[in-house]
Amino acid sequence: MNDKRSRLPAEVAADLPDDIERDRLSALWSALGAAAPRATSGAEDRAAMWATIASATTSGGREARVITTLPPVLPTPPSVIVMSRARPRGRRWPVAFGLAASLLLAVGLVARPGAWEDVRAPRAEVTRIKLPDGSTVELDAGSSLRFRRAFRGWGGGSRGREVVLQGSAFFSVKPDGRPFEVRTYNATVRVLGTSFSVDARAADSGGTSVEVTQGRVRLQVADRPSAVVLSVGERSRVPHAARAPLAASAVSIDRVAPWRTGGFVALDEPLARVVRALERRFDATIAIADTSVASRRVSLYYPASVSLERILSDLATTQALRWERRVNGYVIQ
Amino acid sequence: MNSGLAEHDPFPDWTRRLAASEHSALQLIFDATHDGLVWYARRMIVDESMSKDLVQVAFIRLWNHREELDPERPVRAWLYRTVRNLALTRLRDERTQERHLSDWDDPPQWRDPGPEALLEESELGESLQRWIAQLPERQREALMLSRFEGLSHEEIASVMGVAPRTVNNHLVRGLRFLRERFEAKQRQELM
Repeated sequence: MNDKRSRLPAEVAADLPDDIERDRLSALWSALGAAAPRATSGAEDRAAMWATIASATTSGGREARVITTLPPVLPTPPSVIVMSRARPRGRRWPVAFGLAASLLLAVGLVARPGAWEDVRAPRAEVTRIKLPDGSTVELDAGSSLRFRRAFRGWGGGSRGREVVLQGSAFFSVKPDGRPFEVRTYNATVRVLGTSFSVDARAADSGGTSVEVTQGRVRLQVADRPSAVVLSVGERSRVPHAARAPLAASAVSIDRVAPWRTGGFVALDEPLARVVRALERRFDATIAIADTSVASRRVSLYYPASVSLERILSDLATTQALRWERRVNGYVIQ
Repeated sequence: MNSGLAEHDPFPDWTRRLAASEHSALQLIFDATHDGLVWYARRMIVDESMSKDLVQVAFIRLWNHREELDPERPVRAWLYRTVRNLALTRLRDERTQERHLSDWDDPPQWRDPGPEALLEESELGESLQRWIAQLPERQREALMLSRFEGLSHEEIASVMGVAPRTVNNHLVRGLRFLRERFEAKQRQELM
């Protein structure tokens, strides 16, 4: 054992009234060696951890690693069941969650096991879903998720667990030996690990973005072999109509999916798309009067709860725009 | 660990090499600290894979911040502090979500390591672990970092965000509590 550790620290010794107490505490200090924790990880664990760190900290980690196995094909889902209900104004989250949960329960009682379900998060509201396998999904306002109710043979038996996402969601996948797949309009995210966010809206033509906060995931272009493997603290995107994912880049894990805590983020996106996201997020109507600014690219980042008017004011300041509130919504000009 | 030979502390040298973007220095630091860091994270977050993820993130951050590192300041304390902050943030996030949906999961909290988390080498070791688990959280943390991780008072102070003097108070108090249990057990065995 290390000599230094088995000696009572000098600062502690100096604080004791006499030699007797010093000897007694020294004996205890030495005996404490028997309570030392064992090494927490074996050689394999260590190698795997180091591989992840090395790939994220060397230039090699910035390159897409191409994997050439095709994913299983998802069976074509039947027509969409849309859940809708009156939207509450403002951000009364606990109430909103409670309502969403009871609605989910109601659907669970009437739905046929094995049938496809669609859950849609209303505007201005984050919805949490517990999937039949115990995995959880936080669905951002105005997003929808399609999945199967049946617990056994979910997603067609041995093929594993599959869901279809339209919009933004944060997944915490419970490992159970089967793969978990998220399909979007232009990509497939296959989970090798556990927590990650996905953002994909066909209507926005913004492609599919994935950010990983835990474990590893594989992001693959829909119906194509090219893929990138992302580790914790990495993000990538399959741009609209792209043939390959972008190279992995670093993302701070505490910046992933800030909408979960009432925040808002936009990374170098056209103003028109940001405005649509704000409409969903705040259940508001926002018009851009001057169409020439609609394609201007803006970035916004609010980690915690923020008001729409605060965001509009910041946008106005940074982009030299003006906004005003009207009877039927907001106007940016 | 290395017995005898190296009284010399290699960390300042590694930190300098790291600041000069030497990737091998990152690996040396990783090899020397990752066990302790994972174990430390597990004391706050029970889930082992999440603990490992946090440690990985800490090393990735260390690399990203390498140019701002001060070789005079202990990099080991920086790592422990970063893991600690990541774990606390994670726990706080989980608690925040908890308030939004009460029946979701078991509430996460600071937990005792549990018998399987620590080595049960001997009966004495087992007893010591049980008593350590009874210590107030801050005392336990200071003791663990000092006795098992070999951090100096200054390093522990920096990790826990308190004065070195406070670290010493935690240690002395914790040790006195343990000594009572320890000596009572010894007396019992003599009789």
